[in-house]
Amino acid sequence: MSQTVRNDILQTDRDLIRACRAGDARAWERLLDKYERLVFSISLNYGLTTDDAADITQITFTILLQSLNSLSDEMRLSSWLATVARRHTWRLLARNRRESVNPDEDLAGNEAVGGIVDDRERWELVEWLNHGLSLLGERCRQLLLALYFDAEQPTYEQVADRLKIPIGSIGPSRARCLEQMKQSLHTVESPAVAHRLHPLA
Amino acid sequence: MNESNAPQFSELLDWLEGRLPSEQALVVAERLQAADAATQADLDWLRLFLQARHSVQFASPPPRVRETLRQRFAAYAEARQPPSLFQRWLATLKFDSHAQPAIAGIRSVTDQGQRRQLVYTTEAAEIALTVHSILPDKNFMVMGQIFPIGDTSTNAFSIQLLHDAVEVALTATDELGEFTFAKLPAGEYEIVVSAGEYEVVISPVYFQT
Repeated sequence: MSQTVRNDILQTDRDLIRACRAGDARAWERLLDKYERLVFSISLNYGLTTDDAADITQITFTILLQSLNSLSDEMRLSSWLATVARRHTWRLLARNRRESVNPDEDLAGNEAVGGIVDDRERWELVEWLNHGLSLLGERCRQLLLALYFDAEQPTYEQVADRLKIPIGSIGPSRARCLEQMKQSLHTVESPAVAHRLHPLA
Repeated sequence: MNESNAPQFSELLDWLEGRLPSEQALVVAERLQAADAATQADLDWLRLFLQARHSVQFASPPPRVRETLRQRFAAYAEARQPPSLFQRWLATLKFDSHAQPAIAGIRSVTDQGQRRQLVYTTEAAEIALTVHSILPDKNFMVMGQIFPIGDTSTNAFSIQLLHDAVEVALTATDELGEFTFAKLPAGEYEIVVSAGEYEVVISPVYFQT
């Protein structure tokens, strides 16, 4: 019952920001649950190392913390966070390039720098994935993350063991969770996603 | 081809992931030739998801990031609160429209369903709740307002809704001290109002039509 209730009550970013302003640590945890993967993944997709992407994630959420009181209620938090994360990622990439011993070698080898504009579609897909996963219940989200986004590519057996669910339920559950994600996302399409789904439109 | 012959979502996923035996995969491919637009849309969506999975990195940051950000928020929350001893109050029910005679007009039944008004009081704040039962889905909506009493130093409250001692929703008051929880199934709920240096607990209330 509790899980059902939780899924039915969609908390808005506005509610979470207001609760954070009131000093509520649970709201802060919820914001991090909802957006830390988005911010971290944006930096990763520009070619940063795990350590550098972790630093950018810390910087981005620290700026959010410092900006809590000045954020407007109408602001779209995911876009705000993505913009801050991208800006700091670009700065770090530019600094790394300047500090490179051999600029020619760096330019040839650093595809992330050359791909900044082209990678727009990639971060839109990251935002689309993050939003879709954030609309799911915790069990569905954990299942899809483990099956599709864990770099270690765990087997069904390992996923069943980790999530404490019967191995036979993984296949049907993943389909149900994905169908639920599709239905939740039906009104949300970024330009990149729309182009891929309706290329002739 | 009738609609029921179109591959189901789970079949499409198994087919795209190559999890079907070859004969069954051929059958699905044949049925897809004449599939309706909805099935085609499911197929396109699944293809996009699986492509996205391979073309972008999507991962959680290392645990140390969460720990650092947790500490930074604790420092933020502490810095904005005046030092004081944490206090916890159990709110006293001061008014319940269901305890009043209907003729007084306080208990009301509208086209939208039933409405129950509750008012709680503590040393720190007075809390008014209006519980609406929403027809026809028989869910409930709780609208509340918090009125700080005396020298309470804040007007910002966070409101936690618990069911079976588990948090099911969290929100915060707006500039008028108002808050709303919507789409609540019938059941027993506890509400906890927090404002940094104190917490007000409202005993469980049963929402039923």
